[in-house]
This record gives sequence, C-alpha cells and structure tokens, in this order.
Amino acid sequence: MTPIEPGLVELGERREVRIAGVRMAGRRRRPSGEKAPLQRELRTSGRFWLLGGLAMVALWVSLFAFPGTADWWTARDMSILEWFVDLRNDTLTSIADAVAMLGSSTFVRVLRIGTLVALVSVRRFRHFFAVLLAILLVQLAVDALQIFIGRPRPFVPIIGGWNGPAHPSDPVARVSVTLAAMAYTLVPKGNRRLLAFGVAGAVVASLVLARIYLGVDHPSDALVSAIFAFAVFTVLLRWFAPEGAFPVTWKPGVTAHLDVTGDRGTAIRRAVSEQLGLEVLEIEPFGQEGSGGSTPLRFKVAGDPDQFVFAKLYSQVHVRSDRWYKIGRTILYGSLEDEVHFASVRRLVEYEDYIQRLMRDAGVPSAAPLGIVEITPDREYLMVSEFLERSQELTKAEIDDAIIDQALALVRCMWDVGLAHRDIKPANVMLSDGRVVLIDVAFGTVRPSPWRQAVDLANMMLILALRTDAQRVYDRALLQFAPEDIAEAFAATRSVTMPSQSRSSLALLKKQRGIDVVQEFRRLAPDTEPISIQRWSPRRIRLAVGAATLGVFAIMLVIQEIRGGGLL
Amino acid sequence: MRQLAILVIIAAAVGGCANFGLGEASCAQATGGTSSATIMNIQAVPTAKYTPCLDELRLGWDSVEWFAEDGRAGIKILRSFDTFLTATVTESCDVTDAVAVESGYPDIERFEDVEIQATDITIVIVPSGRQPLEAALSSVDELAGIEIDDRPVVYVVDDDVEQSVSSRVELALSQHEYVWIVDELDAEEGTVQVRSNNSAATGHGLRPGEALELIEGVVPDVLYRGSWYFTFEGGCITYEFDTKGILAETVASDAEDAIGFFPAGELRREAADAGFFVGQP
Repeated sequence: MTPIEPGLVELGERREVRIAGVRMAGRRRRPSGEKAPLQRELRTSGRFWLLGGLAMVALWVSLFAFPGTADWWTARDMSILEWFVDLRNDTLTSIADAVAMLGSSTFVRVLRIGTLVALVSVRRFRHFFAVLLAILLVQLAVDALQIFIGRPRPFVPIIGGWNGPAHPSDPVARVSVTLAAMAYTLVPKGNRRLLAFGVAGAVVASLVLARIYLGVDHPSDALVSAIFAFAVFTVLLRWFAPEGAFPVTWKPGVTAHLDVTGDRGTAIRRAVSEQLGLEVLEIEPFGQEGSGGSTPLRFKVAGDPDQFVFAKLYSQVHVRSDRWYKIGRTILYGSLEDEVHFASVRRLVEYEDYIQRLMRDAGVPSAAPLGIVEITPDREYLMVSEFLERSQELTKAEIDDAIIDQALALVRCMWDVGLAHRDIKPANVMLSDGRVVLIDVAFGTVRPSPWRQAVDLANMMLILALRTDAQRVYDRALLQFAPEDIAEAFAATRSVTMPSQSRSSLALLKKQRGIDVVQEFRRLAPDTEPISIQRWSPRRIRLAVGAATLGVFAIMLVIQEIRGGGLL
Repeated sequence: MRQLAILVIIAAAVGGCANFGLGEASCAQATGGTSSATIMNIQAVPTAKYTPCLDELRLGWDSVEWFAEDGRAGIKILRSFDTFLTATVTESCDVTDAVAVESGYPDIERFEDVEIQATDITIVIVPSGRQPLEAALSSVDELAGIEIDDRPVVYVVDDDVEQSVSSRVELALSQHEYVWIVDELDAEEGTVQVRSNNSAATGHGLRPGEALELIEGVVPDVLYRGSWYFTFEGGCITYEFDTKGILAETVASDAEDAIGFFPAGELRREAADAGFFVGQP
C-alpha cells in the first residue's frame, strides 16, 4: 500500500472556506468503497424478514412450477404429523384445544380493535393505516393462496376445528400479523419491544404446535403463514412508517420529523464534519411545529466563538409526503401551479438549493446556503444554511413603514424576476438585524402562474396587517403595486391559498377584535370579480376518478372482510 | 419495468405450470385424481358415506362456491351474486317437518319440505246462471293461449249451481289467487268482476283483456323455497332452495340433474390403502 503523503493528510484542514461568517475547514471526499454515514434502515432484522417473505414467495412459486415439490413437503409434513398423532392423550388434547383458541376470530378481533383504537387515541395515523393495510394484504394473500393451492387438511385423524383449505394457515397468519403489528406499533423500540417480540413469538409458536397436534394444519402450513405474515408487516411498516421517521412513543401528535438521536445523530455529526468541515457540538430540533415537509434542526458548531447553523433534514418520507400532498391538491383544485412531484430526495434538495441561490442572486434576502450533506445516498440529505441569529418572526416584531416597505419590496422583487415563494407565512418572514429575510424557499418556483404571484402578495400583506392594520399596509403597498394588482391578489385569496399559520392568526384576530383583514383589503381595493381556483385538466380527472375508484374498492374490500370476519 | 417483468415471470410460472389448486367438488373423477375440494368435503364429515358434488352448471346458474369446515361442507350455487341453492353435507339433519319421497337410491332416504308457487296462473270463473256460463265459456275460448308474463293461464269454470256464488268465490279464493264473477249484466255487456286476495286486483265491469292486465300487475313471482333432505349412513345432504322468478321454474329438475353424490366411502378406502386417513372407511 502506498503511504499517504503526510502533507496531504491536512489538505482539507488547510482548504478553509468562510460563508456568512461560518468557518468551514477539514472537508474530505469519501473514498470509493467507504460506507455512507448512515446505512439504509432495513437492517439485520429487516433483511431477515424480507428474505423470509421472499423465501415464502419462492416456495409458493416452486409449488406451481415444480409439482414434485409439493409431494416432498407433504412427505416431510406427514412424518411430523404422525409423530404428533402418536403423542396424543387427553391432557395434551385439552391443552392443545385451549391454545388453539388463540387463533379464534374473537381473540384476534379483540386484539386488532384494541390496537387500532390505541393508535387512533395517540393520533399515530401512519401506524394505524400500516396496521390496517397489513391485515388486509395478509388476508387477501391468504385467501387467494388457499384457493390457488387448495391444499386439503392433513391426512391424519383431525381432532380440532378448521375451515377451508389448509395452506397457508389462516388462523396462524391472522395471529402473526396482529401480534407483529402490536409489537411494532404499540411498544417503543428497545428492550421492551424485544420482550414483546419474544412474547409474540411464543404465542405464535404455541398456536402452531397446537394446530399441528390437533391435525388441522400441516407443519409447513403453519410455519409458512407465521413467517409470511410477520414479514409482510415488517417490510410494510419499514416502507410506510419507518421507525426513524415515525418512532413509537406514547406522546400524541407525532409528525413526520426524523429522530436525530442514536445512529442518525452520529451519522449527521460525521457527515457534517467530513462534508462541510464543521464540528457539530449539539443538535436540536428547531421550529418543528411550523414544518411538516422536512425535519428542521439547529446545530451548534465549534468555532471561536461557537456558532449556530440551521439545517433541514430530508428523507424519502418527506418526498412521499410531498407527492401525496400534491396529488391531493391536484384532485381538490386542479393544477394550481407546478404540482409535479420530486422523483427522489436528491432532486428535492437540489431544487431547494437552486431556488435558495436563485432568490439570493435576484436580491431576495434569505439565509446563506452552506452546502448539502449526504447522510444516506439518494435517501437522506441535509441542507445546511446560515442561522439567522437575533432574528424573529415579522409578526412578533415591532413594525414601521420602512419594514412594511421592505417586506413588500421582496414580493415586488420576486414579481420582477419571475419567482414565487408559495409559502409566505409568519414563520417564513423573519426580521434579522432590521432586515426582512425570507426563509424556507423549498416551495419556490420559477415563472409561476400570475395567480400564484398574486397570492404571494396577498399573503405578505396579511402578515403585515396582523401587526399593523389593513389601511396602513394598503397605503404602503400602493407605492409598489397598482391598485389592480392588490385587487387581483385578494380576488385570488381563499382559505386554501393561505398557509394554516396565517389562517389561524387571522381567525384569532377576528375573534378577539372583530377585524376581518381579508375583507378590509377587499373593501380598500377596487372591485373585481373573484378568481376561481378550480382548474380542470385531463390529469385531474384521471386522478380523481382513480382515487374514487380506489376508495370504493378499498371500502368494498374492508366491508367484505369485516362481513367475512377476516379483517376485524 | 423490472418489477413488471418479475410479476410476468411469476404469473407465467403460476399460470402455465399449475397442475393443482382447489379444483371443483365435481362428481367426475379428474384425470389427476380427486379434487382438493372433494377431499376436504370428505374430511369435513368423516362419517358420511356421500358428499355433494356438481356435474355441471345449468342454464341460469352463474357460479358455484365451495365451502368446507369441520362438521359441514358443500356447494353454493349463485346467480347475480346471490345464493339460491346450497347443498350441504352434515353428520345428521332434522327431517321432522319434511315429507318422505322416493329417492331413487337403495341406500338413501329422501324427504322434502318445500313451498311452491307454481308457474301456472289459475283463474276461477264463477258464473251466476246459464247465460253467464255461456258468456264465461265464450271468454275462455277467446283468451285461450294468452299468457301473463310468459306464464300460462289456466281457466277453471265453477258452475256448481247448487252452491251460492259467494260460497263458490270464497272457496276459490281459499285455493287460488284470482276469481272472475260473471252475472247476468256482465253476460250482456261482455264484462267480468275480478276478485282476489290482493286488494289491488279487484274490480268490476272489466273486459276479459282488462281483467288479465289487472292481474298481470300483481301476479306473484314463481317461487321454489324449502329443503330436500337425503339421509344415508353416517350423514345427511341437505339442499336448501330459495328461488323466485324464472329460476324457480326449473330449479328442482336442474338440481336433480346437476347435483350428485360423490361416494366418499370409496375414496376413504382408497386413501387408507395408500396409508392416508380421511375418515373411517
């Protein structure tokens, strides 16, 4: 191995960059073959269950492709079954009968309803839907496979209750998926969850043994069902509600904010150090109540003195949320603006970084970007930027005419260069050292529709009026906008065009002081016809019809399953 | 695309190579052996000498559903997603209210307990005298061959002059749905008076054609509802019928032809010879 030149070891340290007063030094390139800071979340247990599930699928395919396989399995099953038949006596039969009750629909129904009620009570709807979906999928798969495979019950004296074909075992699958759901969604990660898995495993194993003893299932029927059901839930949950993004806690109202402790915290520190040359001393959530599209964080980084930087962590969960959000908007309103979703996390952060730099180039003050940090390739990225110290939300600051003019000038500037912010709300308009700064430009767009630009103006005027009054803001706006522009802005304004934070502030103002700011602006501006926000397109019709069809199909499936006693 | 390709490969493997599956509870022995469905029927009631099987779906029978669980098994026949005929094998059945009929099998007893609304629509004509009788007979001649809802109409003339008109009407209504009364005035004007157990089908001064239209509006569906029981050594097969309309007209004969009894005992013996247990041979 060629020794590294001692001088080059410190190369990164010597290459120092300073952005917005933040000194970055010591950056290094990750060499080929070196693992990324954070590996994909499907770890050993996930891989085990994924492989287990795939093995079951392979087994089923082999049954059809190679008929001799079924004979081989039956021979193995029969030898085990006959051994169990030889063991039969009254005591063991009584025990097996009792244990087999674990697979009864009443027992499973109680567990399932209890789990779903518990999840709703703590508003963990992702887990709720994951459980529902897993139950439905497993039941559908079991029902379909039972018909396709059509395996008779074991050819030994059967002394227990049964219903339908033997393979896969319906009661074992129902109990397994239910217990997996309970362990994964009700018990926080750690030793307690391991214990829950142990209990679940013991219950399923007891049920499997009891059913084999009673001669109602072949060993392969029961084992395959247990593994398949557990695998389905494990893989589905990790895809739909990964632990890192949706940790199991008993605090209500958990949103899609990633957990930045543990492995991810370590990976973030390492990645920021290597890729930006910043030593992270502390990581803390920052402003999460106003953000659902990313996990906003504040880092304390080593320096002289120590400084804060702002970071937003993006993962696939956020990309998927963005995708569903845009599909929902398209169905409800049509293509109001660019509703095309991002194909990957990488594209999302690249876009936000681009917009942030474009805004700054255009003269729109915003936080200086420090760089993009890769946590897990293509899956998790961190956008790091200047932290606006000594800043506060505009709606919490003292506002004079100069501030109002600055804020309105930002909108004017965006209009002039063909940009729209699309998320102008109190939390995104900051006052920093007497300067109005726009943050969180992720939703920004280039060459937006005129409607979208008008909405930006209306939202900015509403924020300003929250701290002053509509007349004053309107008068100042006339210095930069034509009365018709303002009229258009409020003709376009609807409840849905206002960010929820603005909506709630306006509602509070109306309740406390009886002032309807939107109506005030409409009264001041020239009369104009309201602008419809509904836009029709073939895509909207397709999506709406598709969503309605899927909805009806899902409801029918659920009703059918409930009627059949299979689901709940 | 890659996922699609994998799906296609799996589907091809499953669809192209499959030589087993649930199969049908068919009365014919398949070339590959008895179907899984039939075996499970036999496992469900291990004492029963026979288990129900299906020869073929008859005209108007959309689909068949099989079911089996410990203690009972059988087939359901559906039309428009509704089950109208179920054949179930159980270890025993209650035939208390049923009537014994010839089964056609030496080792099977048959019982029936059914409610039938026949296809034919019977109209009893009650004339009040000789002239009305002639008028009534003339009407019957004129209306011969006319059907209501594709169902033949049978006319019965009750000219028992020893009985009063009202008692003849009462008797007719107790046995049939519709009565036409023809009195002297009706005979002169060529009309009838319609009486029925259904108040919507009553009227007077009606031409025979109008009287038929009145009945057409309220005529009940043909129905065949109830049970047939076949009892034999170690079990019972019950046919449950719940049919109305056109299906009811043929369901009984179709059930006779299409549903059979698979000899479970024979299969058990064969299985036992092969070292498998599917019930006591």
